Amino acid sequence: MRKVIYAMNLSLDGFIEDRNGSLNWSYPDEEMHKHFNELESTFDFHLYGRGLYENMAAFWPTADEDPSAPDFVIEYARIWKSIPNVVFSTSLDQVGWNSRLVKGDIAEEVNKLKAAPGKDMNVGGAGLASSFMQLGLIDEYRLYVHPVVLGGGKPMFPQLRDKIDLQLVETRRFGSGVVLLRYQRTEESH
Amino acid sequence: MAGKVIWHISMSLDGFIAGPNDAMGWVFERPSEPSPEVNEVIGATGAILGGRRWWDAAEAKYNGLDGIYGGQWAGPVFVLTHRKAEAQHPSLVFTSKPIAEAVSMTLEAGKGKDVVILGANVAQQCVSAHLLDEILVHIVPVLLGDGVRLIEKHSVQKTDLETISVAKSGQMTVIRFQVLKK
Repeated sequence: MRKVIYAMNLSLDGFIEDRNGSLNWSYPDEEMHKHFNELESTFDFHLYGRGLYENMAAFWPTADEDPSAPDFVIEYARIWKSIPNVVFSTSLDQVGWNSRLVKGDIAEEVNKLKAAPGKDMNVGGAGLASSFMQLGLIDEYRLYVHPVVLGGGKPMFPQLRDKIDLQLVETRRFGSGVVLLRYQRTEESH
Repeated sequence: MAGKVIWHISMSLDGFIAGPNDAMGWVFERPSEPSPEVNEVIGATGAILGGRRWWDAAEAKYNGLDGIYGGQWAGPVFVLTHRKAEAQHPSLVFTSKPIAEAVSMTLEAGKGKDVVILGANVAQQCVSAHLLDEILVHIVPVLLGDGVRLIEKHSVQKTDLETISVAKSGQMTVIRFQVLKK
């Protein structure tokens, strides 16, 4: 069965944006960008919330046309463009770039995609990922913990009614000091 | 040479260091292996500075002074509090001194060895006053969803860290960070 993977940059204290909404503390260096390119090529669907879809679709379709863009950015743009997006939104009326809009039941749609043959899928957007978490749809978390305490901002994880136990499957340290913590669902939580 | 000031803490993946109602059971639920990092801390620590909330829980539930690091460590323990209290043991000191004085008093009592900070409020005060040298965090593979945060919102400014070491200990990930002082 295909897995749904949630990969995020976060601070040690669990924030994905700082108090000013900035991501500049988490910009990937070349090593991490190449790592994300490899990860990206293991997906054949992006499952996006409205906000992230709009940000990604505004930048990546033309990012490889910028003559000053480094190779690894051009490579990411090409991989990203080859992957179709499923956009979950009740407020959008239509979506463009290689995308399909889903307004209906999230769990039903995701379970249908999971049961179909193919590579893994990447869920993105904190709001949509929170819904996925609460519905038990995330199979793997990849947390890229950056060596910084932000002290406030947008939290990665929502309030949960019940705790969720996970299984640690990998830790990896990057040259920049970022630590990847990779977790999968435990058997009991399936 | 003066010892280092280290915040030693277990944290859930979603950034909580205690569950709702200060619950700590989640730290011990999962199988863990004896960690060389913990033994290193036990050997390098000369004194402890804790908060009142930590001490009250330690005394009520974890055997007080005899339960620190599972009874593997003994030494002077300072508890920062504004409430009056009588210390019942010669190694235990309640103090209401400002954080900088409390830290230097604890360092002095540690006779050149490290000081471990226990308790989020004291640790946040240390971060804000640029008194904290390292954070040693054991990340537990659970999403708690609610509880006491590692850093209460807006209690500290953005603080850069440097990753010193990463180790896997059973299901725990143990990361040591140096706190960069601007």
